[in-house]
Amino acid sequence: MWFLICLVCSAKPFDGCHHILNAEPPGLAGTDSGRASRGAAAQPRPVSILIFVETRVASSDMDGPAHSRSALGAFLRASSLHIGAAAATASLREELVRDHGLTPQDVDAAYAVSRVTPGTNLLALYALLGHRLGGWTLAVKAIAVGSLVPASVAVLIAILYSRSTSPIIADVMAWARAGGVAVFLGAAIRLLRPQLADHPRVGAVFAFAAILAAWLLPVNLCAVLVIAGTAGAIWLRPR
Amino acid sequence: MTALALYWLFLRVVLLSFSGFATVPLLRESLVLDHGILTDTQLNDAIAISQSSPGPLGLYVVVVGHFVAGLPGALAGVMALATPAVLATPISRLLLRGNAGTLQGACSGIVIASCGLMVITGIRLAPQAAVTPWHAVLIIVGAVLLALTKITPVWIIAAAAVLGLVLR
Repeated sequence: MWFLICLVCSAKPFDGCHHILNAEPPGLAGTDSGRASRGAAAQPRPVSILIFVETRVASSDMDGPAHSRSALGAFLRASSLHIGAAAATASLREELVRDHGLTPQDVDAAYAVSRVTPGTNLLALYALLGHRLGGWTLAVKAIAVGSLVPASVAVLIAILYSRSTSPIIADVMAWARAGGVAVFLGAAIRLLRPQLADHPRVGAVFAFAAILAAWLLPVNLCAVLVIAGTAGAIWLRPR
Repeated sequence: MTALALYWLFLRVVLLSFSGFATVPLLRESLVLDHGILTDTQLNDAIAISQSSPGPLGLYVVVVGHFVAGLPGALAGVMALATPAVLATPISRLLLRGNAGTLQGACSGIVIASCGLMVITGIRLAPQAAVTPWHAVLIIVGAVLLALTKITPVWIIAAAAVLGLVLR
């Protein structure tokens, strides 16, 4: 079990402590926004700041070995029993909310952050939730079980496929290859649709420009993405 | 290519992507076109195999690593996938510092451009996978189904495998 405590006096906020609403989150200490927040000390903090404070406290409170093992089991089951990120996330959310004291909002907040971190979103989600439940140790363990176990299964399938001489396997694989391209193209459109809904005109220009650059120009694709990121920071940032 | 060089290449590619398959165009450019140590068919195989095994979509990188450099290559793939995940917590703190708007705009730009690159790469990979007109039909129908409905990718791969058994 875990609970929210005040960073200043270590009391529970509803047991007479009033610091919690005035507490400056660690990330804002000494910054302009931090100084501005001190000026408006009587204003309640946004929920996300409270969640952050809660995370820092919860991390140190959840270091019990049995609890860590149990949470690690949830990460292991999510990564080894489900194909794709959506199913794994749903399973993990259910288990962590039911058995580990997280709220659905906690998991959703971590999911939202994982979407804007580079790399595999699911592993970023494991790292965020692992860090929340058991600090860096559990975060690293969660990443390890989330990547090593399914990777072992994938490599095993790859080895079996490479060594197989069966014409049946070859036929099935030829169709699976076509299915893989279908999934790849479908994933591109699925990923693009919400972005175009948020930025209809500028988004379409970005997508079209990237397609044209990749199709017609002898440019490095990494450079295309770096340019798109820089341009996006200017033209696609929320107003 | 050594496992270390492969790790560095995978890491560079993974750091510039925000979804599992967004790395495919960059990996194809590097491993298939520039270095010539992977074929389009092997890349298609890696995508299909990763769809048939549990875990995130980006796991195909591990299979690519295995095809290129055996088990050390696969390990390089796992490490490259795991490394950026460690950055998730510091990035979440950065978001709370007030740079969220700029970061979100940059992410959107990269995601949209990645989608464009994925479409081009998919079109370039399709001829290798469409060995008969029926395979081409599967590619088109599967892509449309996935784009327009909430069906999970595993059903497309499962249906493809069943077709492979039935139509042989």
